Parts: sequence; structure tokens; C-alpha cells
Amino acid sequence: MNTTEMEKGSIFLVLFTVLMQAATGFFILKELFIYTGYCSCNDKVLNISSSAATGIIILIALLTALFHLGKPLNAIYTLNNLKSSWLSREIFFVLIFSAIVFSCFLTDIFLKIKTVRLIFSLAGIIAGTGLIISMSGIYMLNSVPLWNNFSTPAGFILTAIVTGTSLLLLMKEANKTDSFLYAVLFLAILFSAINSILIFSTGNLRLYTLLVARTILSLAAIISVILIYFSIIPNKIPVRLVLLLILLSSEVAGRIIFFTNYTKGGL
Amino acid sequence: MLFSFKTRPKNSFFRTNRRAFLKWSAVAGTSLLGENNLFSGVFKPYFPEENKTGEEKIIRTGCPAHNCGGRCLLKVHVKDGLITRIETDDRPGDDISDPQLRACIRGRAYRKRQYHPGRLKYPLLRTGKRGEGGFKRISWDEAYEIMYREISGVIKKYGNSAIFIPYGTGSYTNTNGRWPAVRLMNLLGGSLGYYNSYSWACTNIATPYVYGTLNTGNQRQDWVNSKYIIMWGWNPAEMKDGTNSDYFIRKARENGAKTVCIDPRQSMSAVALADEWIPIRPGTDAAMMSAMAYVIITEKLTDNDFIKRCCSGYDDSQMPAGCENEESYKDYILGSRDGVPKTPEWAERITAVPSTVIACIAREYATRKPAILYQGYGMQRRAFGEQTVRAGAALAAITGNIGIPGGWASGLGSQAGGEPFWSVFPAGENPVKARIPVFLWTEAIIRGKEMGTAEGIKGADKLDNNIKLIWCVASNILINQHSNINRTAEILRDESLVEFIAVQDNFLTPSAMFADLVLPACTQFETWGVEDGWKFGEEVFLTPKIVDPPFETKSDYRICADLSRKFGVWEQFTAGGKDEKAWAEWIIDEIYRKTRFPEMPAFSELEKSNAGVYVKPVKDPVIAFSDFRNNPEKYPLKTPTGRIELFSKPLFDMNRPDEIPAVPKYVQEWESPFGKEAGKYPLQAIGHHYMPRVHSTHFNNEWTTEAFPQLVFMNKADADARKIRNGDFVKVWNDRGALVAKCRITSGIMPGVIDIPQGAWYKPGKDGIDTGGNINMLTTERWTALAKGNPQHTIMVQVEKYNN
Amino acid sequence: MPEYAFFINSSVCSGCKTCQIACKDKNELSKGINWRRVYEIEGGNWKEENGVFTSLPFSYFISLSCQNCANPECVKACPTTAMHVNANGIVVIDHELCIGCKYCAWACPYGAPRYDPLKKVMTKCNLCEDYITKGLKPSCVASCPMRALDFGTYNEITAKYGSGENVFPLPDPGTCEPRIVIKPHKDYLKPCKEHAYVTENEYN
Repeated sequence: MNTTEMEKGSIFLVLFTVLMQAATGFFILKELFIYTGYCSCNDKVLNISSSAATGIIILIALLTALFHLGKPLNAIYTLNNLKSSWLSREIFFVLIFSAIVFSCFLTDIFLKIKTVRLIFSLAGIIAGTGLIISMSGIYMLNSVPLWNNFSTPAGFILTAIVTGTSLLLLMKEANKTDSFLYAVLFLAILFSAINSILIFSTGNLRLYTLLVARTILSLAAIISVILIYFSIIPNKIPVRLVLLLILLSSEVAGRIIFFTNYTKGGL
Repeated sequence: MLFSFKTRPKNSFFRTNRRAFLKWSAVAGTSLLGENNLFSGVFKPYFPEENKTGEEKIIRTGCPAHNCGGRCLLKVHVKDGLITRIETDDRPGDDISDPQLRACIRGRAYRKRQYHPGRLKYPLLRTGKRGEGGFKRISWDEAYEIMYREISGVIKKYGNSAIFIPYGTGSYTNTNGRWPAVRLMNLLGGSLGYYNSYSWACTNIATPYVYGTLNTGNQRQDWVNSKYIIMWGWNPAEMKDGTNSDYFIRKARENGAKTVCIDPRQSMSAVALADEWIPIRPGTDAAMMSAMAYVIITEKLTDNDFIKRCCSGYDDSQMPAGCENEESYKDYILGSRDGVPKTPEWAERITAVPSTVIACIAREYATRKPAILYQGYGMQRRAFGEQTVRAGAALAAITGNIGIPGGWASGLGSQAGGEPFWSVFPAGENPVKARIPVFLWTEAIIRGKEMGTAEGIKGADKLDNNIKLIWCVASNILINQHSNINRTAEILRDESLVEFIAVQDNFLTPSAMFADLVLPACTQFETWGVEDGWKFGEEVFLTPKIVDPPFETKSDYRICADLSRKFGVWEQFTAGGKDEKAWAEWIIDEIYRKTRFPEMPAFSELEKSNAGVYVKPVKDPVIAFSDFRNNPEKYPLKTPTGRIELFSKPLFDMNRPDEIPAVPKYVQEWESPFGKEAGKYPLQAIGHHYMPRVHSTHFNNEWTTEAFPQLVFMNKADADARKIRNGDFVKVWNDRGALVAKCRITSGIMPGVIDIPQGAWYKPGKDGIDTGGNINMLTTERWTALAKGNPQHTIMVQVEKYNN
Repeated sequence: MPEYAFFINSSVCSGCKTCQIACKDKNELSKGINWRRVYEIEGGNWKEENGVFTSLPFSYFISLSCQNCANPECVKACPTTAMHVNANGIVVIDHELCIGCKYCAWACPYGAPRYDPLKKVMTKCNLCEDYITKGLKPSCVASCPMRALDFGTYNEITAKYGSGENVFPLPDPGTCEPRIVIKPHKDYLKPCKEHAYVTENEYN
């Protein structure tokens, strides 16, 4: 069958996956950068607000996910099949991850014990990784050959890095590590765009528009990164906010391309 | 864990409340007796488990008899006055002597027609101009009064022959259908009669010129004895030319028969049943048949003994008296007189079938005996359909495939041995003797009084009247099924021509849109009836009343009976007060049991047993013409020579050799790819009988149209040349009209031909272009030379992408 | 636990969709939801030489519902265990647990689970469990005018008809182990050599 349209209702999954990956990428990168000492995160407000931001992104993601369900009120049953269902496992990791993010948030406000915070941090990194792995597992089905290859987890990881890094760059404290982060961002945007181009399967005119949009947005982002890196544009918060928005749109476009690849190998 | 995961909770809060909500909304829907709401409640999907209120009954009955050719058994589940499920024949055995009568999608999807929200509920009177479709509700009393007034008025002013009850095949259950109306008119002085049909006009007239009868068909159980079957333009798997005809062919194949489908389309039958599919240019069948005859004759594969004993006109040794020196069949085939030998090479240029294939088929047909050449009716529904019929019969004759088990005489193919068939409702004798060819009713409106034998008038030299009143019952012929809709619509809009039109139907069909008075009839599930095999079959169905007629609908019989009261002929019409059930009883006990089925149980027994059908198993199939073949002197045919006429003197005497040759000839159609018209209109259009419908019945059936929506089928080559892609809307037009429909590009139709399945409901958009996809926007009102029949597949058109 | 299977005789299937409609009637399926679907496969080219056709296209039909796989992907994928194998060996959906996420539809290589927008859950062929437990055939099988469908336990069906062929466009049976035996149409090998199109109820 030659369906080249995205299924109706998949837009919610597009948003869910991008936002979830953004939250995961942001959290993991933030924790890694804190613990490798690249940034000294003594700014309490920044810590709390970044945890809160992660939490809000997760909430929005969960809401959009509920919209694509027929009976969202039955959602509690989704943990019934951890034994064999990647979707079950993903929901499991989403819950664990959300709990940990919330715990980090509480720890940052009330507790000052570093070890507790460290434990939550490590647990969060593990949970986040598990989340990305499960999410990839969902889509790597035998029946959808265009999803059943390395480009799926690669794309998810790259989305996480792209959106996570650009969110990280919004943290004022990250000034010291900017060049390194921009370098990482540059590579991630490049590979993410290439991934989208590689998975693009030919279809009707509308899809080419999507690919063009994806490419243009990625190019704009790359050029902005270069310009910021060489200080041609000032490395200010509004600029980084615009960059974040461009990147989010770009990743959403890329994810839509991903979802239009839902053509069954059989029927 | 935060939650305990009971995996299958039985009584959760949400579960019970949600079900209760749906139940109430269904009830609320059914209790709203407003204009459109009675059945909307029924369409809300409801959980089957909830149906445990009343008792469910299962009634076995015949599928509402439309003009599909099938007569199948349905098991109808009824509960609380509603039909809840429809299943089919499940009698054990399923042997070919008495196979299960399984219904097709039209029968299985019948609930969607039965409970369609658009069903007519009340009598309607026209407001505004005719054809605009504006109506207001009136009472039955008013409706009967209007009918009485109009009919009496026309009889008084013009005479009975100005009244016409047109051709209509919407129902064949005797009590539903046009026959009660005919019976009533016959008691009131009669009405203009007709002969022929839209299904098989050419073969109906042509077959008797060859065989002297229409009963040229063996019983179908005989097909398993055949070794070679040509399905020529025949698609039983889709239209259902008799229930199980496709299954019998399958059985024949299992018994060693090779099958060949010759058809411009790779039809469903070609896919399911053919070893070989041979695409042929529409309208050129007689050319291929002639070329086959050429091969058979020149390679000495003819059955000379049979020809000598049973045929007439084959060669100059057996020409009929008075025509000894005329062109014989052999002369034509070999080209001795016209200088054109009908070789396969000659036919190849005309038919687009390779000459090697033609020769091969000819040899196989002649040598793999016994062989069947089954002609479908599509190829005779054309400009020179009569010739195609006779050409096919000639092939059967020269190969001696007649009168033997496993053979087939071709022609119309009505089952030999045993009558009556079909509708047996006693309509009585028509005091008006004049009969028009059924296709010429629009002529009879505009110039009836000028029509005579040249137009095929029978029973009288000329007509006394133009048609002034039309009472259209169970028929969508007025606008939809008759040719050239634009022309017909113009004729009908003129109220000085036809002064009154009444349409009696289940729905507001396109024909009903042109009515002055619309009478709501009930469906066959809602009244008693009896149905019989179509042209084959040894079964009779009792169709009891299963549910009540909704709103103010009545059976066609009931409407006529009530009307007969106004005319003061109620006693005679109802034969002493019979209702529908009494008629069903009378038909079974007084007709069928006394003729074809003496062993059939009595009506009361049949009713009590809930068998739904009586079947006489066929263990020894009747072979048409077997007596004649064995002893042509003792059992002559009803032809002038008593033999199979390959040369027909009556046709010769008509002295129209170009259009009505005495021997079957290929005649180029008046609209063909070889004529001048092909410059402007290069594509041939045909309109096959489509699976989701029976002609125009079931056009509004949601389930069948989901499975098979109305489309224009085109070959990729033709589409690419016009930059049309799959799913685009296309406009199809010629000088007579235009339609717009969605296009399906398929490899299953030959280049140069498009297919617009017939029966779609006419729905004019702006500029008068039909948006429903009705092929009759393009067909011609010109009639065929001999049969005065409908050449509705002879059309040339152009197609382009439609952008609006 | 019996292993039920369908037999599909594609060599005599005319594509009439009576099986599809019989199922719709029994299960009250609204427009757009078909538990049984008839696929049309057509392909090949018209090759013309001097006004006659030297090569013709081909076409065949396959009727499919749920394959009642022995190792069902949908059951593995379903997060809530709504999709499960019941005591009669039939893969069924418990509507109380289903969340309508459509993951089973993604996982099924045959497109069997269908989302019902009115009930807001996934639905699919249940092999007419109420009929087969009474010894009757499923509605679709009993409806086929060409007698092209059959049903029984997998052992019965393979004993009667052999193991069938894997026909284009059915995917590699692979891990699912579908319980279906197909007798192929005479043209079933042609899609390998020529491009073929598969269509279902795609026009609406």
C-alpha cells in the first residue's frame, strides 16, 4: 500500500515524542554537565526552574499523548504488559522519570543533601535512557520496515540532544560551556537533518514541502549556531530562545516525516 | 504499587454508566417520530448483548426480488419489530443438484436499505415545476382522489391507450411490483402495452429467428458435463445470472472444463473462473465470431451431420424456398459474395484480438466437445446486438454443440423444460391491444399517433394516442435508466406532453423527482409475496411479512387495491377480497403446485415449516433441443423451416440487408472507434452491472457502496494521455450530455475503453452536468434496427480531468 | 486449546466482498470499519503490437480478517493486555481494558485490528466465537457464494488443503505464525516479476 499521508491523530504522537525527548535530553545533559563540573550549579533558582521546566514539558507531553487515545481513562492499565510490550515499558519509564524529575524539584527546594540529589540524578539519567530505548523499541516493529532500523533510535537520540542542548543553552549559568555546547548542537542538528533526509520516502507534493521546510529550518539553525559561535550574533537569551523555537519546529517537521513512513510491509 | 492491576474488571463505574448512556440515546432516537428520526435511532450502533429484551425470531425468506438474476435465501432475524441480522441459506448438503442459495452483498447488506432514513413515508404532491423535486405531504385519501381523477380524466379525454405503466423491475414478488397496477388498469379498460425489455431486447427478438423459442438453455447442473466454456461478455460472479451460476462454472472447471472469458474488462468472473481472459473491443463480437466460423469451416471442424440434419441456410445446399440464390452463411464467412473472407486477420484489425488467439479459440471450441458458448447480455445491448446473438448461435450450430449434455445453444438461454417462470401474478388481458417496443416510450410521448409498424408497433397498425399519463411502479426508468437523460428530462418537464406522472417507490429516486404524485411503497420484507427463479432454477420462495410497513407505506398491491375501490372494481381486482397473503397462497396452490411443482407442499405447510423456499433438486438436467437433435422431423422447431435458421427468410423479406442481414453479420456500429465520430470522441464507454447495486437499487446502501463506490474505470494509457491520476475527478461527455465522477485507474480494462457502471442516481449539478455518475447522460435514444431495442453500450465519449 | 485457522481459496475468489458485508451485518460495523477485507492485487502491463495486445495484466483477490496467529504480535504489543488469547484459543480484545492507542494495529502485519471511533476502542475479527463454539462456521465462511472460504482447526485445515502458499502482498509469516492457509490464484507469482498494486476500500 502506498500511503504517504500521516495518519490523522499522529500529530499528538509527534508532539509527545518530541517533547518527551526534549525533556529527557535536557534533564540528562543538565545532570551530566553539573556532575562533570562544566557548570557550577549553585544558582538555586536556575536549578529549580530547570526542574520545573522539565516537569512542565513532561506534563504537556503527557496531555498530548492522552489526546491520541480512544479511552484515556483506561490509561492506568497500560502498565499491565511490561513482560512483552515496549509501550508498557515506555509508560513505565515515563512515570519513573517524571517521579524522579519531581523529586529533583523537591530536593532542590527543600533538601540540601547532595547525595540524595546525586542518587536522583543518576536514577534520572538511567530512567531517561530507558525511556529513549523503550520509545525506540515501540517503533521498531517487524510490520513497519521503514521504522525497523537504526535510523529510529538515532533520530530519537539526536532529537533529544538537539532540543536538550538548546534548552540547556537557555540556562544563564551555561556561559562557560557555550562553545562546547554549540559544537555539540551543530553536529546534532546536522546529523538529525541528514537522518530525516535519509528516511524520507518519496510521495506526493505535500511531503516534499515538509522535507524542504525541515531542511531550511535546520540550515537556519546551523547558520545561527555558526554565527553565534563566531560571535557575529550576540549570544543573548532572546537569540537562544529563537534558536530553540527554530529547532523545535525543525524537529517536529522531522518527526512528521518519520510518521509518514507508516507504511506496512505487508498490508 | 500504587494501583492494583485487576486485569479484567467486571463492573467498573465507567462501564455501566457508559452502556446506560448509549441505551437511552438509542431509545430516544427511536421514540422521536419526526420526519427523519425514526430510523436514525436504529442506526446508532448498539451492543448486541443488549438485545436480550424480547424474543428473537428467525424467519427464512427469499431475498427481496430485484432484477439481479439471483433468487437467494435469507435468514432474517427479527426482534421487537426490527430486523437485526441477515444471514443466508445454511441447509446441509450443498450438492450441485440442490446447492445452498447463498446471498451476495446486496442481500446481506439489506438492512441498510430497509432502514435507510431516506425511505418514503407519506404520499407526496408536487409543488413547483416538474423535475425540481419540490413536494408536500398529502394524505392517502387525497392521493387516491388525485389518481382517480387523473386516470379517469385521461381515459375520458384521450382513451386508455394514452396511459402507460412503464417497464420496471424493482420488485418481483408478485404483490410488490408493477403487475398489480397492470391488473388494475386492465380492469379499467387497459393501457398501452409493451414488449421486450431493457435487459435483453435484441436477444429476445433475435433468438426466435434462429431457434423459434427463447428456451435455449439447458438446466445449469448440466454445465459440469462441459469440457470447454466460453464466457463471452458474461459476468455471473458479479451480476448473478441466477444464484450459483458462478459456482456451477467453478464445479465445471473442477470437472475438467477449460474456461475462457472474452470481455473488454477483466471482470470478477474472469479473475475467479477463467483460465484465459481475452480482451475484445466492445461491439466487435460478431467479427470475432465470424472469424472463428471461418477457421472452423476452412479447417473442416464443422459437425457436418448436425448441419445437414438440423440446420438451414448454412450453404447453398440448404437454402429455404425462394432464397436459393441468396448469400448463405458459408458464403458470408468465406467471403464468396462480398469478397471479404472473414479471416482471423480481418477480425484482428477490428477486434484487437490477435489472429492466432482467434484461431486457437475457434479450434478449441470446435474440438473440445461438448462446449459452451455462453453469451452475456451486455454485448447484445448494443447497436447491432441482434447480429451478435445470431452469430453466437451459428457457432453453436456449426459445431454441433446443441442438444447435447455439456453443450449450449446460446441465444437468450431461458431454461428449457417447465413454465411458468418469474412473475405469475394474474394481470389479466389488456383490452388495449397495441404494444410498443419498451424502449420507445419517449417516442410514444412526443409522436405516438405517428408511430406504426415501422417503429415496431405490435397488436395494432398504429397508436391512437400519445402517452399522456405515466404510472411508474417499482421502476426508475423515467429518469435514470432510460437513455439520454437530458432529452428525456426535457420531454417529461413539458406538462403539455405527459399531463400526469405518478411514481410509486421506496425512495425519492431520480424518476420520482419528476413525478407529480409520489406514492410510498413498502419493501418486500413488509408484505407477503412469492418469488420464483429468474430465468433458471427450480425453486419457489415464500416471502412472508416479517415486519410492519413503516409510517404510511403500503405494498404496491395494497395501493392498487385501495385505488380499485374508488373505481368500483374492488371485487374483481381483489378476486373476492384477497389480500397479499391470500394471493401468495393462491399463487402457490393454484399456479405452482398445479404446473411446475406438483410435489410442492401446500401454502399452509410451507408457511408453518419456515423453510422459506421449496426446491426441486435437479439430478437429471433438462437438455434444450435434445429431442429436436435426435429427431428433427418429429420435433421441428417453431421456425419457418422447422430447423435452426442460419439464414432467416423472414429477415430477408424485411429487405434491409445493411442493418438486418439474413445471415448473421458483423456490422460496424453507428458510433464506433472506426467512424468519423472517433475524432471528437475517441473512447468507447460501456456500463457494466456493478456489484453493489441491482441496476439503480441499493445505490444508497451505505455498506455496498463503501465496498464498491461509483467510479469511472480507465486504463492507465488513456489516463496518462489526459494527465489523469488515480482518484481524480473526471468529466465524461459527448454530444448528448456530461457527467462527473471519480476515476479509478485499473489495468483490468482495455485501452480505448472506459467503464461507467450503470445505475448510479442522476444528480444534476451546475450546468446540468450529472454529479452522480450516471452513464445514461451519454447513451442514445436511437433504437436497434430489428428488435427496436436499447443500444445502451454503444457510446463514444471523451474524458478530461475535472478541476472544480 | 484448539488452534483455529482460515482457509482462503484465492484461486476462485471473485472479490465480491460478500464475506466483508456478512461480517459487517453480524457485528454492526459502521462505515469505515471492516473486520474482513478483500484486497485486489492487479499489475502487469498492456503491451500492444500492431493494434493487438501481446501481453496482458493480471489480477487476483485475497480475503483476510484476523489470522489468529500462534505467536501474535498484537498480543505482545498491547500495553494493557486488552489484546489476549482467550480460553478458546482465539485472539480477542477486552474492551474494558483497551485504551484505543492503536499500537496493535501498528504491530499487526495484516491490518486486522481496526479502531472504532464510536466505541473508542480497537476492534477486530473474533472468529465468530459465538458461532464456532456451537459448531457453526463463521459468518464470512458461510456466506461466500463461491465457497472460497473454510474454517476449522489448523490441523484440520492443513490436512484438508495442505499448507498453502505465502502470497503477495502478505508479509513474510516470520514470527507471527499466522494460522491461515491460502490456495493461490494462478497469477500469484506474477507480482514478483512485475509491479503490482494493492487496493482495498480505498476510494472513499
